[in-house]
Amino acid sequence: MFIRLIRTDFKRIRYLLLPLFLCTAVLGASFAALAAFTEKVIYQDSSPEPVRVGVVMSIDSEYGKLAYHFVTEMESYQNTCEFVTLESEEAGREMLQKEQLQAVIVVPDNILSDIIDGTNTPVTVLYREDGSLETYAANEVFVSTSSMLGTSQAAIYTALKLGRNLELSPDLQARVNTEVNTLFFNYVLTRTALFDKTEVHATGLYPVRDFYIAAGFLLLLSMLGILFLSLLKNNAAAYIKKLKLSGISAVQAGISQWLTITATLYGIYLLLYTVAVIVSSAVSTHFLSFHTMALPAGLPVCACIALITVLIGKIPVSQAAASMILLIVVFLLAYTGGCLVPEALLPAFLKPVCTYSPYYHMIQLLCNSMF
Amino acid sequence: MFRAESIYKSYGKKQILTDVSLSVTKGTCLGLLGLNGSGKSTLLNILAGCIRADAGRCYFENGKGKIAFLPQENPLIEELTCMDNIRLWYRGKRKDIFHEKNKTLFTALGVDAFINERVKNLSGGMKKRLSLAITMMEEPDLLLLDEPLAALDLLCKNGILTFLKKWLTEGGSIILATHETAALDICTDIYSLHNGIVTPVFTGKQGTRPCREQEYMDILLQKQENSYVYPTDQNRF
Repeated sequence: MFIRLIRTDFKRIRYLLLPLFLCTAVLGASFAALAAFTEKVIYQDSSPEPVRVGVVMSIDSEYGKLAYHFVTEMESYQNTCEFVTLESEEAGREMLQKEQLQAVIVVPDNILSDIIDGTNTPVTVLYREDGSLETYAANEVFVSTSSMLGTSQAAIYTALKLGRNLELSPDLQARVNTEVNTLFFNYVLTRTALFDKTEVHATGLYPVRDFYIAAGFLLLLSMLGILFLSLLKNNAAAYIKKLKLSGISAVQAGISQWLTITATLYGIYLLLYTVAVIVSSAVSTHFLSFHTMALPAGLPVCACIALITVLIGKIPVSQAAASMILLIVVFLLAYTGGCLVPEALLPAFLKPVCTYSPYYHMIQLLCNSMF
Repeated sequence: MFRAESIYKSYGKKQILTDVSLSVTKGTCLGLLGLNGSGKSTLLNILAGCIRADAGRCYFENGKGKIAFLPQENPLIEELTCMDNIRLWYRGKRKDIFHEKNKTLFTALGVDAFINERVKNLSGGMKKRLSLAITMMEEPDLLLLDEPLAALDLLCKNGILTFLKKWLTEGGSIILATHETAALDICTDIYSLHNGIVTPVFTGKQGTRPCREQEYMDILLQKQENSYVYPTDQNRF
């Protein structure tokens, strides 16, 4: 009888397929649009602009080229600055006044040879008077880098001085000189990455768009639960009575409904995922790539949503009231689970309970498997 | 023979059934009359095993027998076809669903004419006939019917009564709760249920029933003498 009941529940679902597909299409399109523009709709696009820095130096000389190359390739500078080569200090000052630059570095031609020789040659840095936060950050980078280069320079000079004090032969001193300079180029300058660039998202490990694509899947499947309420609610008392007389308890009937809804939701999930991957490969943004793990990951998610739906369907209220309750419960669980607003942005009192929401684990599972 | 002995049932402080005893033998139909809320449906539910009595017992004297219950409301899934509904409740193999016995049953109740229709498109009478067919597929020894003729037209009522009459002659037993005097035509025994107490109105042959409205009211209110026997062909209402 239980198998016949499951088969019958599937037959009943058959009549829900059209509204299910229509709802999936409408909600899917809405959530996809929302996810695509989430960063601009929900979060302001506030990526900091790089600090425009003018560099005045002679890049004609071999050492000048090398110095310019090292400075511009330093990760610390790459992450914070945009370099513009200038012909003269005057041109730099003029651009500073016109607010086209935020800083100008005047590098002496002989900077590298001076470093190697142990000569303390200052590098001049000019700032705009109305120094902004970015200017301040750039200054910190310059100071830190100068400090590091100064220390390195002292170390090189010490090594060379040591060679002279030990009265090494000129050949040996020349060899030490070359070795130390090689070490300086290879190991010191490459380690001046004072500021590593790490992207930190409010949505945790995943970029905002990826996170909300997974959230869209989750919310869409949850909302489809409303359609399944007709399967749970449109049962005459006589039907339930007859099931009982046939040896089917309310729990068994619930299990049959849960299995049916889970299977249907999973079918929709697979379809939706396939369509999303195909659309993604067709457009330039490639918002979703195919991952095998995303296929099984949908099953526990669908099972959990189906369970919530069935449990709410068992509340002895009308179908309309159950729909409202389902919407409210889904909203609350999704909100507290950091599905609507990321966990990091939740109010402090909700953060401790975040992990207790099934939606927290479902969104993590989907994100882990989809991206 | 099926017996129910000393059935008691209460909901909270309200006593619904008090020391109810009755019995039905093969080929007999027991009609239960009573006002709304008198406990007829509760009694049928207890006999069917849907709800538990506070005290008392029900049993077949020979130790085995099958009870089928058709509640007042149809136990059908509206969005499915009649065939889907039949498949759900048919306990045999799927391929045997149209064996001779079932075919005869469907034909007798006229279900075969609309077997592929969706239930929600059927009339009340069609739904009742389908429900009865589904219930009869269980091949019961005792059939419990709660208001089987409620809200049906005359033709449908006659169809169902004819079917039930025939089934009684084949050795079936029926307990039916009804407000319809027409349904009493097939009853061999009539009991009235008032204030939780069952009183036999008469036990006689089929076709005997109250004939005047006042007499019917008297039965419902248990004002009549228990030995009262009503003539069959006079002043029917």
